[in-house]
Amino acid sequence: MNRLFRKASNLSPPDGRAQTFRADLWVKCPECRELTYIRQLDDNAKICPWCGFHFHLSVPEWVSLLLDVQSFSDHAPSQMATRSLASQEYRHHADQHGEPGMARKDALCELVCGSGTIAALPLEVIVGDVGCLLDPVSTLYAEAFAGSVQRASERRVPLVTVITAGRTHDHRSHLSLVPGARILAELIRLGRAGQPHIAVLAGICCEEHCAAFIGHADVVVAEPGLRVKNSMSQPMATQIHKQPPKGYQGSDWTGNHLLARGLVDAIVHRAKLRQTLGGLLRIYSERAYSMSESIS
Amino acid sequence: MMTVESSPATLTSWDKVQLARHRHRPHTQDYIQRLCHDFFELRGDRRWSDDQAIVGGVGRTDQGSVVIIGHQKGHTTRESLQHNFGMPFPEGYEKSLRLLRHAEKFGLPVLCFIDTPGAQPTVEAEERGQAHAIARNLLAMAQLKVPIVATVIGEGGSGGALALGLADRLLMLEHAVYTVASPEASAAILWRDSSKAPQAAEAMKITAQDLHAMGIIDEIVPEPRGGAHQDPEGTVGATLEAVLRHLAELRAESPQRLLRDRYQKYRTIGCFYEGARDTLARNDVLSLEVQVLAPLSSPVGG
Repeated sequence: MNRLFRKASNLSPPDGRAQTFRADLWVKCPECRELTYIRQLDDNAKICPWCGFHFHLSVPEWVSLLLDVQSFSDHAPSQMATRSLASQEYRHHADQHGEPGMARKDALCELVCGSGTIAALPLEVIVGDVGCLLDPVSTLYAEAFAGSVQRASERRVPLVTVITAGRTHDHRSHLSLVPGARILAELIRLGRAGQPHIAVLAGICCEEHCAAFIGHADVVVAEPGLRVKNSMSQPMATQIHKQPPKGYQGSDWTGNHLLARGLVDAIVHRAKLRQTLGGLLRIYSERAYSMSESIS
Repeated sequence: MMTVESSPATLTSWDKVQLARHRHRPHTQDYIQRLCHDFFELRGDRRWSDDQAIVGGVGRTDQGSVVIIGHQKGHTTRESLQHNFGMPFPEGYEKSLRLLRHAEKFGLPVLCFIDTPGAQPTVEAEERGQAHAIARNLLAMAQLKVPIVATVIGEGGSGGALALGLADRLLMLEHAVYTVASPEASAAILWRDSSKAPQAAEAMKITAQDLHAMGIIDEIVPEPRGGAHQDPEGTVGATLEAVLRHLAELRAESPQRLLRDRYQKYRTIGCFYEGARDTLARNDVLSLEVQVLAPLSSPVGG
């Protein structure tokens, strides 16, 4: 009878371990603060089931979200080189500035370029996660990017780029603007090959992306919650040794603002993104007119 | 005032103006919805704004993919405000220019739907280069290497309408109007009295029948008795049938032939009077002047 009235503490597991909250199984939404079981979040394409907040997707997650199953063929040498060299540049910067946490592997730039299909239609795809301190339009990044655009031109297939970032950065390489021009040159060739460039923006992106090449995409699609920032105000303050005027190159625009300003074509929920891209690719694959005869 | 029962033959030009402005006529988005299996709206001019007075995008039809551009009015007050009553700012024409270039880049024919009282006439629009934006559209359309079929589905007012109207084929709905200025504005210019708009509408020859007789448009699409708003579905179907028929003919032409024919078409418009002078008897010419020019140069009813 005494056993029925034992204290609660005596009900702990026989091995003595206390029952703890499994933080690795639950995720708190930064938007609505609700807890979600992590597997449920994964099954929902990392969209908060309570408020629709779009969590950050890694590069492999983007590839599996958008492309047909087992259709992706990675251009491994380019990717590995980019990652490797990016890491070197990144680490060099980390050594110089010594900011805490910079050596974390997950902070590195990831750029994956490859071939695949969406709705059985072939395309070249580039997924870039620049959530790091590496300049997104640096030489290395641009080289991989331009190479993939070139492949799309040669294969005469559309190009889909997904640019997503966890955070912005301040580091810039001395050649940061020139590679942007290289990418544009390749994109012009892609256009001459009659193939579209469809860009998907997600997370927090930089103005440099828009200025360098995304703004010239034939179709620009944004995820809900997109923010496009210009991060030049802080370097400028350092350069001129005083605070620049309020708002100076410090824009922070939402996707809806960009839509109203005519800079993006649509804001598409992640769950409908694949379907939207498939529809677009089908449109561009079934053209009603052949311009093969040249104009004299 | 025209009634639903009015016979098309008895409708005056002013009646047709009222019909063309009817809120419940099918608008561009109604045509897009019916025409396209897949449609993706391309928004914005990539510079400043997304002007909703012009809508457009890429879509897949029975004949393949096309680019569609059109003025958009609203069926309700809220929609009308959202689309600025179909009066585009320069940004709207910059958007249509972007779409025209998009069409040529990807070999997509262009279908235009014209339905506007005119371009936005405010100082802000003028200082942002309204006339230049319209001219850039016309320049692009004159040299576009893909087929263009334009249809006046309601009001075709002034340069705002013309900006989408330089086409290989220009169609008009039976009760649509296509005019250099609104009848009210013309009456105010000619007689300093906008209440004389009905007389101005008659004198300006703005109906589909007048323009077809002058060779400015290629085909009149019949409307149901009482106007397009009486049977929007039927009107949209009949219009799209005509549009796709013309598109099918143009698809068979080479870009070179398209450009040559387009040049000839617009080079010929406006020569009818000069050419006719040699063949018409003097009395016929005088009669023509009395019929067309006299109402414009003399006060009405006075």
